[in-house]
Amino acid sequence: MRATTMNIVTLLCAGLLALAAAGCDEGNGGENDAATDTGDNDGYPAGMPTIPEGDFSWSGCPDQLPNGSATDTMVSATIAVEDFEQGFMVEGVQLEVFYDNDASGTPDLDATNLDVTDENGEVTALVPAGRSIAYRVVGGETPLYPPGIVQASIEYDVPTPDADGGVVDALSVSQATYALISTVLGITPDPTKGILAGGFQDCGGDDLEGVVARLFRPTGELCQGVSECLDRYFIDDTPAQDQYWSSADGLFGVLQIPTGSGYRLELHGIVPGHGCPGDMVVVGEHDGIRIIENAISIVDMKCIDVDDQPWSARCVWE
Amino acid sequence: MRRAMTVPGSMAATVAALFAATMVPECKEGDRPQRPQLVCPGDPGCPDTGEAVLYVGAARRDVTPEIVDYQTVDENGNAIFEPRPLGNDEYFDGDGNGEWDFVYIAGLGSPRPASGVRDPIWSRALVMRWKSTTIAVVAIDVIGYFRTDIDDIRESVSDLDIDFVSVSSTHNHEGPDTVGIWGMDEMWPGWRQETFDVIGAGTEEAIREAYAAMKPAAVRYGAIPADRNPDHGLCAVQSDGRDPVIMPEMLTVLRFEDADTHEGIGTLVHFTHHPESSDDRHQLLSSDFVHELRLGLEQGIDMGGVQMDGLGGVALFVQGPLGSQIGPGDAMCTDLDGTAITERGFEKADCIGRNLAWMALSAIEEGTGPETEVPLGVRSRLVELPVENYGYHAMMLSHIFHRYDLYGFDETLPVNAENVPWIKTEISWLRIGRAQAIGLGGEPSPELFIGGYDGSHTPQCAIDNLGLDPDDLSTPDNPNPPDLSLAPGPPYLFDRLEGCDYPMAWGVTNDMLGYLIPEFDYVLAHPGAYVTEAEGHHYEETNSVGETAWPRIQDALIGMIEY
Repeated sequence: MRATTMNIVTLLCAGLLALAAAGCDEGNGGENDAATDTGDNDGYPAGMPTIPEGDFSWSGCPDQLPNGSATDTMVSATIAVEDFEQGFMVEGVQLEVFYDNDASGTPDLDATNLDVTDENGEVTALVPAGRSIAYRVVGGETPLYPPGIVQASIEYDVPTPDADGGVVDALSVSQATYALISTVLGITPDPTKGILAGGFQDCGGDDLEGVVARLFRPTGELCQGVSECLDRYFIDDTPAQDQYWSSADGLFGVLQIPTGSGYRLELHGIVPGHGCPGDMVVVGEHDGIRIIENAISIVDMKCIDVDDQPWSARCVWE
Repeated sequence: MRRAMTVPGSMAATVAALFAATMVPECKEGDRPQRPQLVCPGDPGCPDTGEAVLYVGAARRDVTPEIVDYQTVDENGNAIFEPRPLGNDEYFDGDGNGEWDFVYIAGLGSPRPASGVRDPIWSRALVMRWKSTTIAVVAIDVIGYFRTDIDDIRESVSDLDIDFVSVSSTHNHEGPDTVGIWGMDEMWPGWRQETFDVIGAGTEEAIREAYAAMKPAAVRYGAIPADRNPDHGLCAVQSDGRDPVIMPEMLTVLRFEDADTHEGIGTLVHFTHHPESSDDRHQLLSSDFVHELRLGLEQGIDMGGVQMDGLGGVALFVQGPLGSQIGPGDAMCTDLDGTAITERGFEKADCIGRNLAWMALSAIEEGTGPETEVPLGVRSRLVELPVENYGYHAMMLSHIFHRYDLYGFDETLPVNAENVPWIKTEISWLRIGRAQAIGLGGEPSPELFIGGYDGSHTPQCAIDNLGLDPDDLSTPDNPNPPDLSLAPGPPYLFDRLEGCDYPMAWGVTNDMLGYLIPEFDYVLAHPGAYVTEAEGHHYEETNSVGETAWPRIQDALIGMIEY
């Protein structure tokens, strides 16, 4: 048969500082705790590899566009909404747009002043020119394709065109895709919680392998475990239960996240020889992430480009 | 992040070691060989007493599901339904409810909604009695039937004095989806309740009619290697898509006839071959090669100078150990009139079916005379299996699979290597006089039953056609060929069948489990187990219950056979 065509909590330690204070290992040693997760006592997966430093470009990352605001120069842009998994343009989608790249607040554009996408998956909107914005897909149903029923999604750091205008690329996640990401990781989606997903890239745009996602609650504590904030990674663009750090496709997912605003995402990886305890370096970070129930938040991250170094001059363990 | 995800349908050394340590759950009580749950004759309710006369009845029912909605426009002609915005395909909403009430075809590409019927989907039944033992053998033209659905069929005839109802699927890739994975996508399963209703009702009727029609009978046995095609031998009707290339060549036929008049009652024909020659470039329901095979057996053959009378009665095809991609693959069929059929399609299915019918009729012609001393026996038991396949977890959690008998895990936790759901599958052993049949609910590799690692079941035509290395029976382009030095030696399962002249392994019987693969060649990708394929010929692992399934089943089978 060939078909052509996956609560214990496990805050292994509550927060990295608390983690060290509680006696968890520094670095990458420690015993596996298979009853709770596949990681060491320090919360990192056993056997985590070193980032293949030489393979990646650590300099020349384009500067992050500043977040927008309603007082910026506006440009008329076409927001083009594409299905996350299948790539078709999604008709009938309602968007909310957040000029300040913070989906926690009141949207600047919503159903009161923004149409749904047309049959080409496009809608015209006034957005700040040359800025980073966030948008939220709040509903819609693709005509003639019931499986294309849209699941709510948020994406951050979306670049807008400059004053000459252009296209803002946006993504819509179908219910089928949302369910697949969870079930292939063995989880029946909890409709009161959300998912965070995205990709890691180096400054040259190559997908970054050997990195783990660490999500911090709005209170500053690490959120990590089996019943909440389970992090897993993709292989060949498909979630895998036994992939504990980013593979060559650079993709990650954190599942079963309690709703809330103000989450902080950090990317951690082992970069030997740079003086950090355990060689564990923060290679990327993003603040102000909002998790909404039964929805997916998307963050695609570039490595932090500080003095052409592959880290933010900040060790995981100070 | 714009990525396409695919799920089936296989690290660092530390993590691999971790997995080896955590993926295999501890054996549960009851997994080891023990007394079969059914032993007949032998159980208190099944004494070895009564009239020592073979009674046989046969019947069939057309169980083709009604096609209500169907595709009307196939813009790119690929037989796959791609409505806007995926494409511009359109459909006829037969019941006007605005939904896609398709009969999805179970393979190969999907979603492939049926738009018509080339030949009917059948449920066929043979009911046999010897002394106090009564057995019903059912074969249905579907991809597979989960054990829980088979129990529904059994319940429908529980008022009849039948000790065991064996239900096989022909593993038809041109019939309605009864598993679920050939639907629209990960949220829309391919099965429809209406299909189960039609099959259930028709099968019940067929069993009841066969039961009522039982009369004194005799059996003729026949078995020949299916290698008589003058141009390509066995390779005309069979190929093996996974290394090592080991092909179950035997075509076994049991012809039941009226003990007095010798008129045909029914014929059980057993061979190993994926019914998928018709391919997926059409939207017609069919039983694939099985159609012409049964037709030829019942009505005879008159083509290209081959003239043979039919056997009458009801022909019933029971699938063999078709794992490892035993099927049409590279088969080069030459029809009885000499026409070479190279492309997949209905012509190839018919060609293979006619060749097999001719050889099955020959097997009976060259086989035994009618025999009336035909003791029957049956043993069966349930085997507990952990569902280790992550892809299967997804299909179960999203209710794509039409199976809901998971147990033994904490439903409040993620399903993973530490929290594995279990299922119970059924294995069986039947004696029909001088024939015996091992029944199991998967697509087992043939070598599990016949061995063949010494090349004894690898025909010269396959060696020549595929360029096999005779030492490892592997194709030259396989970067990770199996290490046959690790393969088990005899006795193989057929060697353990005592007093058996006609051994059979009935695959996809009394359950549907996916592939069952020898331990020495079971290779998973790590990471990405079950979702990505390991290097080499290891697709089947991604469509299997898990790496511990076969060892558990094999232990239970040996215990049951030798009980």
